[in-house]
Amino acid sequence: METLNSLLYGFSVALQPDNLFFVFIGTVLGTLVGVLPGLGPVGAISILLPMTFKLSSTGAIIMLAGIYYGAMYGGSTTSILVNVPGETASVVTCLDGYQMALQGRAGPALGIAAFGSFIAGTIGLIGLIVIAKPLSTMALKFGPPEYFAIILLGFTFVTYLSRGSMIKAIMMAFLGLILSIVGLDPITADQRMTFGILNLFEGIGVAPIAMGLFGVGEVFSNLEIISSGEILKTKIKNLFPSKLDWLQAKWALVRGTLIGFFMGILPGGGPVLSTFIAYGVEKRVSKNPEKFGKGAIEGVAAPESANNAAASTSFIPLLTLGIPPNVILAVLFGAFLIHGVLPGPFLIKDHPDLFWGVISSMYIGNMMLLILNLPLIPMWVQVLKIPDKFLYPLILLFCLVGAYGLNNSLFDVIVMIIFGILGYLFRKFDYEGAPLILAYVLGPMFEVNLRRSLLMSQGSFSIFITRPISLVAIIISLLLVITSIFQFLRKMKRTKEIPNIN
Amino acid sequence: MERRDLLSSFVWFTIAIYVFLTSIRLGVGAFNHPGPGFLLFWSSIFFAFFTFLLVIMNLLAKKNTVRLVDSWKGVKWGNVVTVIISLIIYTMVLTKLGYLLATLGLMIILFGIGRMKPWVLMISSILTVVLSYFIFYVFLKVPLPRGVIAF
Repeated sequence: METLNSLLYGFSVALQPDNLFFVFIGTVLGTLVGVLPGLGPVGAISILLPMTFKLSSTGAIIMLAGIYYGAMYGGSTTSILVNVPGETASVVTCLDGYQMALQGRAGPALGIAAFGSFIAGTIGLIGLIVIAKPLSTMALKFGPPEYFAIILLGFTFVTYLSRGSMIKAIMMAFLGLILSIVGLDPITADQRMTFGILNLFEGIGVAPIAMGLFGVGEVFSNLEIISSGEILKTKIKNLFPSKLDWLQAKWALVRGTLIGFFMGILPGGGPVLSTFIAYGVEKRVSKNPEKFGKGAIEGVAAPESANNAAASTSFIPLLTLGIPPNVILAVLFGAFLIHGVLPGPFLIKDHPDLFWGVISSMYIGNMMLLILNLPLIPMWVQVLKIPDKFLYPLILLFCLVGAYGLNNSLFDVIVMIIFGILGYLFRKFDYEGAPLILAYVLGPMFEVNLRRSLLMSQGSFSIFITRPISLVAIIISLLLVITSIFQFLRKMKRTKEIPNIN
Repeated sequence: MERRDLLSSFVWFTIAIYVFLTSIRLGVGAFNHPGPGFLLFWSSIFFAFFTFLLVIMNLLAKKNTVRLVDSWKGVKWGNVVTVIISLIIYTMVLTKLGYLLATLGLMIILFGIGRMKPWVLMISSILTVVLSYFIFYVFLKVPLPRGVIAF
């Protein structure tokens, strides 16, 4: 009953005209970002972050959250029509979505993606409401050892689940941790790697780093190549899936939603990984796995529902524990801090308008996205025709003004450009930016909680294993490390066996 | 053997050594009383360890040698260099020339990479500068540098 009252209060906040406007802007921008290949939600949120300074904290977070889950909807459009994923979480949708479009079934593909996203996103939000308050209450009992162990678990997950080399992902995480230490020591106020530069006393700033790595770096990479995706010239009709489509896709929607629901909560999980897992599971349980990759509607329904469910439930650890589970929410975490709000167990108590307002706005946003994505598809298709030679200079300009507007300082612009060059070089040398930014955002919490824990235990590490929650988190981290070592040794053994077979 | 990894490992080792020495200077402290250099110390050690691991794996890997230039083969990396240099010059002149003039110059270069017709290039650049000025300075109230044109 109390939760229902809180939710109604949240709707009263979200339905205020200005917040409603921000939901709309966020979801439109998110869909646009999802549709346009080359700029993902991380880049978009990073770029637009400085623009939210003039807004209230509630309005800013509502808008930025809208970009996040809006991009999950928009990405499917390009995947299905152009065979180019608008953003990473839509990669898997290309496999069957584009094939359906080639068979003249672009409409049902787009329809099931939109409806599946809406259903899964709504279920994810229900989960968020049900779990958030009890988890916040439980988190009040967390002390420094628990926070340290959970953050360590987050680092372990994000490196374990990295797409490329795990060793490189671990190195990026340590680099992010080192970068997070730049500034004044939080306990002793000693200057650490500031080089006497005043601007570095409070650290480097998450916005220029994120804008550089994911915005500017992405633009640099795209400037090297010319997109060759041709928009499918087909009449898009029958956007509402048929009864047969629903019958075929229903269990894929259910399974995808469940997978996304749990993957979203796990640190390091999130929408991207959930889509791959959902597709893999669907193919495995299917009676006709050979139809996957050739236009199976389940191959669209499962990943699209997974990514939207994950997008909703990934807010759970952020809002209740103050731990962003993926890189997009790490940047959103930075947005919270910039607006003077600390996500975590006290958020419900200290900022109930923001907490419940954001959750309610996500319901409204999901409904808006269903309306935006179906009838407006022809408009989104036109957007795809904007030439890159206009688009990327404009994105760069947005980044430059955004970085300057943070503190009216050229320093942030310079930092952004430096990290833009680094982001570009990371792509060239096969390093991922995600572990770096996650470690950077969580680094200060990690350090403070580690030092406090050691002070509490007078230097003994047993404090991390004598407390149950921290013990569980440490065990899971160790299991992941051991699993990855076994996988690595098995891979090495397989590589050695190949010459023997020859 | 991935030459890219060997080159990047050299850079990472250099950083790890610098961070290690900085942590010693700051004071590592003890486990029961960690100092300001505590996490830096252990981070630099782990960072160096994993960099070393990367080097070893590369030396043991049974791959064909990948040349450093391969990452830049067949792509228009010149565009990236042009843009980076333009951005550096932009930051140097932004406060002196002001947003309008500096951005006009930058947009001419950025749009110029797309090889447009000269009149399309000029109109696009001017339109972008004017529209962005209204959106950011007038509407969003971002205090852009005025420079020589004082409005």
